[in-house]
Amino acid sequence: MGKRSATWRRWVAAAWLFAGVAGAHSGPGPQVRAVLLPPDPAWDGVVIQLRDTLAPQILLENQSDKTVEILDQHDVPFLRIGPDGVHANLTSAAWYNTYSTTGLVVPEKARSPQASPQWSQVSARTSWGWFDPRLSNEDELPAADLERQARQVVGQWRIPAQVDGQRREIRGEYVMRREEKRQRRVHFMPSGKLAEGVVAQLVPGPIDAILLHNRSSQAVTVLGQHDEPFILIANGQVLANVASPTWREWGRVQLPVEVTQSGVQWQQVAAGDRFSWLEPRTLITDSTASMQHWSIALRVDDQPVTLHGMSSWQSQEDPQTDESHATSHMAQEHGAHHDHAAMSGIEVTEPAPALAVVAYPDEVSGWNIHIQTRHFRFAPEAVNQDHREGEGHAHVYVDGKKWARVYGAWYHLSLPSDAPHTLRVELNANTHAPLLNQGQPIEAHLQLMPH
Amino acid sequence: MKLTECAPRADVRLGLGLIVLALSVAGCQGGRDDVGSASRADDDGSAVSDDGGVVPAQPGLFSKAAVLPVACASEAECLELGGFTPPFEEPVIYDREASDSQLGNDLPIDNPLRRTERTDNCEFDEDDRPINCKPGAGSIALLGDGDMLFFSALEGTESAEFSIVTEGGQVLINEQTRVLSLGDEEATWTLPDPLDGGAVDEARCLLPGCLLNTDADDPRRNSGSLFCADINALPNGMLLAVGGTNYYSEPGISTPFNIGVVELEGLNAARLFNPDTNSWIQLADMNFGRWYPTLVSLASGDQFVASGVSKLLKPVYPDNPLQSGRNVVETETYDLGCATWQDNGGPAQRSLPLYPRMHLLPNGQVYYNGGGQAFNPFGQAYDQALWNIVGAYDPVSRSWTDLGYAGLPLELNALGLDTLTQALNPTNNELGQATASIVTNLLEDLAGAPASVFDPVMEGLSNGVVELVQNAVFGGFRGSTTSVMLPLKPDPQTGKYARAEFLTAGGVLGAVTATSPGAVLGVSASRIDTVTMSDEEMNYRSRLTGPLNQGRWFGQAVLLPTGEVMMFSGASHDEVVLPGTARPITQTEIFDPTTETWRPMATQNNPRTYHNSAILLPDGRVLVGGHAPIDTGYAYSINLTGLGISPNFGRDPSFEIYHPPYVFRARPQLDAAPDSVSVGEILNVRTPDAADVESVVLVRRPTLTHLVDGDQRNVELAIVERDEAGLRVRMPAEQAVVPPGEYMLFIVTRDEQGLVPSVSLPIVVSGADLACQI
Repeated sequence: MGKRSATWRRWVAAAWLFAGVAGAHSGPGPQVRAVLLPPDPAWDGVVIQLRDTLAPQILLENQSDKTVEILDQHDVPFLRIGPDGVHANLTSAAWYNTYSTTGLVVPEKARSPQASPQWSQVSARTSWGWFDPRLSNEDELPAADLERQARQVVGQWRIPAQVDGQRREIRGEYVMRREEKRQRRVHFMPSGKLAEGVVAQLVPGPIDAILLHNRSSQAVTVLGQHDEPFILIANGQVLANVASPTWREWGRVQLPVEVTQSGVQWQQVAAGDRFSWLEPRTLITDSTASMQHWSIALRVDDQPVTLHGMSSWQSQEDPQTDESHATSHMAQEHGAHHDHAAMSGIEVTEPAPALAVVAYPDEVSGWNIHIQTRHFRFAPEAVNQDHREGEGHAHVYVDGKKWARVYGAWYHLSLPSDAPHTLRVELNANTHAPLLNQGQPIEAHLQLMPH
Repeated sequence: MKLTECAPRADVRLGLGLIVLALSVAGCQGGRDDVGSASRADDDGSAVSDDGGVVPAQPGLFSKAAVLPVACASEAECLELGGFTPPFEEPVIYDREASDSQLGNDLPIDNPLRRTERTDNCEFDEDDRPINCKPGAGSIALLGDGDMLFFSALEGTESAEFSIVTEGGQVLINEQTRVLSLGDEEATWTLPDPLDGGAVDEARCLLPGCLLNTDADDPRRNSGSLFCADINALPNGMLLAVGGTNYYSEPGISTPFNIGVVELEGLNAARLFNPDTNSWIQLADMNFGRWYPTLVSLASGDQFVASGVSKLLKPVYPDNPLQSGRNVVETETYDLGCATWQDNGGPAQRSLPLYPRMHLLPNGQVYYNGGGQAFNPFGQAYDQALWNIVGAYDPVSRSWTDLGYAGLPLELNALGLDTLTQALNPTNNELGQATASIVTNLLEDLAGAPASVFDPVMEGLSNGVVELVQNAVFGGFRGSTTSVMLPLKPDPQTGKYARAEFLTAGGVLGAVTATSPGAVLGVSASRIDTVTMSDEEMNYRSRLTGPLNQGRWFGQAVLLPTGEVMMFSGASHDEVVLPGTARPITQTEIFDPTTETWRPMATQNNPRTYHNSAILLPDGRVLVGGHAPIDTGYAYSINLTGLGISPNFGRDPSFEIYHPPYVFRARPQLDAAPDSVSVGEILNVRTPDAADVESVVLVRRPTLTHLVDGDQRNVELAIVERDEAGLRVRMPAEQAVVPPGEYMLFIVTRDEQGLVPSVSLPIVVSGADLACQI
């Protein structure tokens, strides 16, 4: 009987894996996803992460001298993560079930919660990742009621644990999986030229990289996360301050470091006038945030210069916002969704009008907005008249409020430039009705940053 | 290796649309006298296969099969598209029990859904599980005497009962190697010694007290497989194979039976195949274990190796790189003189994809072309953003130079504009209209200026447009793609080789922001990257060519002596992400370097998706083989070919020979050339066709695995003089243009249909630095 059951379990596991791999990039998936709440301060010395690899996975790294035990649904410990490595309770079904996305075959002796524990070391490291079933919630949820909620929290999850016998919890929430197909986007923000001959390119990745090209005769120093000298590109050479904490953690090559008083120790790490490095500062560190601003300080010779940028989560299923992204210096605010269904607009015909908006900070005040259009003509002479294909005007909304009607490509937005603003530009017919392309308004979104 | 002439008695059978050749007895006098004969071998050392029987494997045994003539529908078709011979395969199944422990799956339970496909390729046990199978050519190298060494990939996958993921540690076995000799009408397979390349037990205790042993199971079976080693030829013609696979199960719990998730450990091993003795020996270990590394011969003949991974399934914690896994960033060099591996040090480190596409530039630096294998979905690395950056490694300063983002700066020639315009067509779902219009405006502006270059680091361009063009030109890291170094040519003025061009076609895009590093669909995008070199600097540029006629993952490109590029095999999408669901591609294509476009050519016989191979033969034909897929859905072997998708129920041991159209035309005659040359020399080439010769080309003998041949190169030699007896041509002055080793020398003429190469003569380029540099 046991053998037969093991057979079927294994077969199911194989089928699951197939489904799991096949579904990795498609399909709706569960309605909700787990997010991790900031841990209790009592978790001092323990780093807990929630990662979505093949499935949601808790990664726990114990840097303390205490032993962390993770408990199963019967409050029986199945994992021990401590200074002497990771131990597994081989008589706990949870050990087998959480080992991989498909689980392993659970031996007979591990099927009873009353089984006496049998610990065995499984890793010499002090970190472990497991696929905890408590991170999944397959329940049907009343999605319609939740759509309007900002955070869309639909439940909580808890994983009990013990640290040296003291009760602890890893806690989190289930949120609607609206961002299932979202993608992190990263952009520079224009803040004037970096310096003559000094140019930077963002290289997207799980952690982004920056490619910096110094064609000038000046020395360009990139400062690290603690404003310490990090990378120096000058005279056809690339040097790294290998004593810099940023380099020591993120540097793409690791070199031996001698401790110096100044904390600065330059060593050549590459040749040429271009260099790419991993840049963790573009990561969105707040798991609940949809966007995050970042800046990287440089020195060109002794002149301070700053690379500003913004990272945001963007839905891959929303080409409209994608357009404004791709054509603007500034990323749009994510999540500013409109009730499109309630809008009565005019459906356009092919070739459909399109627009792209770029905002240039004005050196004196505000921003100069450039509204570029295609298959569309500004028709101030025809405003308030009947709709005609391919013409009309634009409406500008600032911080969600109607701001102006615009009859041309350029518009000066007179606003305090020391505060951020959201901008929406929409194409309208002569009748003022929004133009719609396949039901979607023809509009662009921008996030204006203080300057 | 010399084979005595013998007359085959071939028994040709037709079945199931496949031509299966079996040779009952190789009746042959003389044969090899340097090998022992086994109990079930004939006196001459040939293997006897009676009615599909199994012969105990012994080094030196050989078997033969007929190679039938090329089959075209008509002569005109041969002249237009070229043609393939019917497939031919090793007639004998060898029983490896003599040297290995029992093979196959020892699971005590049956999967009721497994339907074993009984093929002639394997021997089956009483439970219908395959136990001994014929190897396919997943990796192959052309030896100096014209024979081929090849080895298989993923041997044993067909034995998985439920899931290769959980059983891989048990059923995957050491690859078998073979030497293949091609005669006019027959092929001969010979067994090297040892058969598996000398798998060394590298089992390790990962925990105190050996609680977790990387080889809790039988070490003889799958501890040192050649699978995933890279191969390169040394200047003396021996083959170097570095890395390889140790399969084991994690966590390695052995009760109730051995379970866990299959893990692949990259080996430190370096092995050498000696064609003269038909045998493998072990070299000094590398400093780092490497699975999917790439080897490149340096100008001195020393061997540079980069990338690979020590442990495939590695954690990636973006917030905690130090706890995360990545590929081996350390590079090392095998010094021919010292016979040791040296770590090249800190600035020589670089994060690279698996099997990085690398080539030796004429200035002696090693170029990384922004391509590799991502190995979805487990091949991610936290620092994979850096794989997008094209760079070059200088063996003198032992440091890298970043050259740019792959595919950019972009030269906007007419083809590029056309391709971009199509890519940015408003009907393209991937792009919005406003985006398309902005870029179209940009293109119109740029197209107005001849020879304009789109440089993403140009000031004044918005990031959005940069990102857009990066995507539209399919820039950045490309997975499972080809990377062909186009013929190196001397500058007509200076005679120097100061420019190298690389053709990248097909593959999958690097969806670099996703958790996993690649997309799934094979793309048709094709581009040429150019590196120009002066004493001071290197300059990188890219341009788009016409696209492939269909999207293609794992297409195998072969550079012909004419400078044209043939593309074979592959599939519609990534067979590592979704094994057994892709549509195989059998239509070949050719790249015309004058128009920079691809056009369809003859259709190959067999579908060959993952681990296919194709190499240029000394006579200008192309040997196409391989196909060793992952089990369907990472489960077990299922035959779904009825649905028109990849045959993932086992490996294909067959070969077929592609005859390019020039084979059917009058070919120039190359009578004589020196056996050996060195750099800077003037070389006499005897041919009655001297007046018509357009180019004289040195072609490095191919050493191929996983689309990677780090030494692949065709070098055109400057013609300095010609008379009716022949030509005098000049060897390059720089050794880096022609690293020492074994080459083929072709002459190429032109007729109404185009370029026609001769049959080649073997030639050795000398100059290896054999001093031990300590």
